[in-house]
Amino acid sequence: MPKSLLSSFLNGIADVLEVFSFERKEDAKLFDDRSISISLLMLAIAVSFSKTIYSPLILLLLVAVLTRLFKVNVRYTLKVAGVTAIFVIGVTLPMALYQAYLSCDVEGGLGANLISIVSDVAIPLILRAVAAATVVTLMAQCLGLTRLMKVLRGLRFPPKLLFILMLYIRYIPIMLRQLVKLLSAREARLLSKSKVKNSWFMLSTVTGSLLIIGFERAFRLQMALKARGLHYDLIPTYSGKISLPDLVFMTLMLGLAFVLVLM
Amino acid sequence: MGGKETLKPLIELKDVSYTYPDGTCALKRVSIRIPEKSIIAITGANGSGKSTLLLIMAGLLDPQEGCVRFRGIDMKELGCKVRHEIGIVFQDPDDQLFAPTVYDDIAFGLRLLKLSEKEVRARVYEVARELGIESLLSRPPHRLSGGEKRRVALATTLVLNPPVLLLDEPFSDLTSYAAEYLMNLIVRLRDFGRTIVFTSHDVDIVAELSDYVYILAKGQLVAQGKPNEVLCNDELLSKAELRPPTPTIIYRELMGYGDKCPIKMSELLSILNKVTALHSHNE
Repeated sequence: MPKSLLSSFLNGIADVLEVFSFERKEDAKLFDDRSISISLLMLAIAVSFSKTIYSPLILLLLVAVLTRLFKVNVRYTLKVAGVTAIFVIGVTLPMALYQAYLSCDVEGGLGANLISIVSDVAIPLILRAVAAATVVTLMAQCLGLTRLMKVLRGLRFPPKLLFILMLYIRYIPIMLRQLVKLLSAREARLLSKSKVKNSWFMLSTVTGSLLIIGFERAFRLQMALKARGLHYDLIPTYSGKISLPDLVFMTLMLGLAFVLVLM
Repeated sequence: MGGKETLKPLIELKDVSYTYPDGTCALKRVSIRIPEKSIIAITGANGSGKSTLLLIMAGLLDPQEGCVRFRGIDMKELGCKVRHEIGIVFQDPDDQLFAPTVYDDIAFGLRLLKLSEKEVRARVYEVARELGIESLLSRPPHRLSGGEKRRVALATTLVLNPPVLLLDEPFSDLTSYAAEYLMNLIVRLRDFGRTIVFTSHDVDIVAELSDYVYILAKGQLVAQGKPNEVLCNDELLSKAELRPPTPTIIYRELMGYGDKCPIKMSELLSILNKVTALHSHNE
């Protein structure tokens, strides 16, 4: 793997994960935070258990409508959808190939079996994963990290767990960028032209350094957060009121979630 | 500001020692008094314990020996309350910046104070204007240059309006123009009643900016006093592996050793102007 590709990949993942740590102001919100988060979470769960190809497609269409309605940046949703699709394809394709190879002797040739497995199993799986990921991204973008944490606190999630989750969401992109810096520094010390073998060698040597640097960095970040007055109990509980439009929105979304599971 | 005895301490460290878990002794029985409304410099070579001292002053590290007092109260008793009083800017801005945008990073502390979004916005823009980083507000911190990151890191602390500001090597990574801007800002903050403690191994900056200087060497306090008393003393400076300020070196080259050497460029220029005027008058 050439260095530039590896670095771009890691930077890309960091950018995608960073989508979940954006903050969003509370002014001009359409619905109550609780109704948005509960509805979208239910939709994500429903689509994960759906059986046909139509459920994820309907949900993707709904996400497109809601993206417009909530005025969120469609680029970030597409980024997350793209990365999720790549990961799921990366997992499902070898499995489909293996399954097609196993059933090769029983029925038909490898090609025919592969097409059948891909269309019956792999594509619905990919679509389900992408649809669920886009719904979660939409929720993260609609509310922003702090508002989402407030809602979860209101749903009786332990504050310490939420605080750790919040730090994880913020810290993982920082760690990935640190990894890119480490790799670039190693690359700069290679005298010969970078080869695929060298890139893999560097990746293996960087793990120990990353752990140590990560620990040191985490320690300093913790001090920086402490210096700015952060304490895990500072995530307040959400205290908004659910109005009639919120109830209508929630009922519609939960109804849709029910239909998606049944489809 | 008067001598050591007349200073009214805002922060007081008494016989403070700190050893890191790997056995590195960072500080050995250091006693320091930080007076109100002043600019205090802590200088010394690399690894002399400057940053550790600042972290202890901020209440982020607990010393193994000795005590730290803020306004006469033990720092341990104050606990989290001291966070509103003391702001710290770390040596590496990357340690401090973690939000997806500069705006979010500056607003982070204010949001924790549960201020309204309108107030948060107003204060973020005010600080951004002050530091000339308005155009950076929507950008991700990791894409900024070293100098820009440093200014953003300063903004994240300044926005909380703490009466005491601790700056760890604030002038590294800065161009001479940006350093001059920061020096003026620090002086302005002092004039508005803030107390500023900064670390630096650049003796020229220490000479230009500080009201009082502490010199550390290998974790021990080797000297303290007004800059013009301490920074001309070659013996003290060599203990801390430091050299005298550039104006002092130039003065000595031109005039030989004198009792009162200039430590600031303005002082040197004033002397040189006087000498030139005297020469032209004699001619």
